[in-house]
Amino acid sequence: MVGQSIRDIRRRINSVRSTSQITRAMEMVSVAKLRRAQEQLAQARPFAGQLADVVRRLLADPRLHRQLPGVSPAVVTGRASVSRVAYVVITSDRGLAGGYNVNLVRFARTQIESDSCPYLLYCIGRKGRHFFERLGWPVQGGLESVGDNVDFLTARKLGSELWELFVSSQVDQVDLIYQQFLGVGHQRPVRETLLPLTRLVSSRIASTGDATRLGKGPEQAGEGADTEATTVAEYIYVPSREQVLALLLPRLVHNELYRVLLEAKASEHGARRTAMHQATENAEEMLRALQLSYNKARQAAITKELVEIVGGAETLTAGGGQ
Amino acid sequence: MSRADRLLHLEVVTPARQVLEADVEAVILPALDGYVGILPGHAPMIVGLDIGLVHYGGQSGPKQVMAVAGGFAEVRDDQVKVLADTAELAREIDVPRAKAAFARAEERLRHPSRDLDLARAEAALRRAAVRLEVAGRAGGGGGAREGGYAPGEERLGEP
Repeated sequence: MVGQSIRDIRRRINSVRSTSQITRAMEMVSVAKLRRAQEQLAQARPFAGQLADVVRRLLADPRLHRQLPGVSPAVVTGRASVSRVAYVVITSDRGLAGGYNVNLVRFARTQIESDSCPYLLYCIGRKGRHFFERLGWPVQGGLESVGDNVDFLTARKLGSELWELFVSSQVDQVDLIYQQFLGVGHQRPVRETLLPLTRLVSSRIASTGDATRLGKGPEQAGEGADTEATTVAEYIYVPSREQVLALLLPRLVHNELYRVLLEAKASEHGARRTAMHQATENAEEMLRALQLSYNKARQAAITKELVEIVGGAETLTAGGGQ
Repeated sequence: MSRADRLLHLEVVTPARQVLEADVEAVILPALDGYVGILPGHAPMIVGLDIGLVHYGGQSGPKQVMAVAGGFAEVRDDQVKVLADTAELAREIDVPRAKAAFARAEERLRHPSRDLDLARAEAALRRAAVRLEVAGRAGGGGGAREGGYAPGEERLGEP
């Protein structure tokens, strides 16, 4: 009976140990992938910062402010009434990332339900798509899976699609719902408007907020403000203002989407790292407890055997003495 | 300060990374309607970029070249900021790959299938040609893969 239980405990120890090896490996993998996503994010910063700067300076040109040649002005100023919204919900393809997907999807659902206006739903990542499909909400498009390496091409393709959607007035607003990266294992579901570009280009407050997020020094922001007034109105546009704007504004959208995809990816790996770290720790704790009961059971068995031997020997000596 | 003492601060970035940051005396950019030369003291300008070569460099005129495809550049206060869709320095160019892309595009244009996107094939051909030219000018040193020449970037110019 005791032997049985020792074998059971040993079996459980083995099982828990191999689980902890898997979770530890997954933690390591997430650490590596998180680092990569963070590097990509850092490398994308100079471009994003410069692009936003240029566009902001350009739009400060009073001649451009109300009428944008070649581009629908609604892209920058927004439409008077929003009758249809496109939501882009960014989740991961795989689970085992703690509350990463669950929290995001719940957040997205509340947002969409509280807006209660006609919408198009775009899902990036399998988890989100499956969730909304189970819910019976129509998923318009998006990406089935992003993979671990977000490349700019992906962002550009989807960005063009969303741009078209807005420009052709199929929707009046495009919102991104994703897990903002606040640090390793620390993320928060947020909703940001991608189109119109109001948030990205016009308000000064938003711009300084962006500048810090994009890792630009405050001195650069200050310099921008100083020179803005003098240089802005004098730009020469080659080949023409229309063409330059038509080049710039979609790129702003593509790039913002790229940044958000990278950030969501960083959050995902951060969340998974934390989840797997916790799982490994739990497994180790469980192993300690199991090891203790194993030792106890083993000790009990030995003691029992000893008692039997001693008992047997005593019986023998007692018997021999008689 | 006289114009000769001044330098242009050239910065080349793509969405994926920063490619180059240098102080140079002159830059030539592949604008959508032809090459544009820029010297210190240039008026503020925003230029739409084509597929082409960016020349940049020192004393006796531009010396170095790099390949860019699409995007735009901002000139302001002696700063040239090139925000390109893709950009590669000569040493980063994968010559065999560019050659293969060139041959493929050429083949496609020579024997056009019915559903051929002509503009796209031509753009691919030009991108490959520009890459090969940049690599050739740099003295044929190619094949190096430094600087994170991501596979995805190759196709970026294509819609």
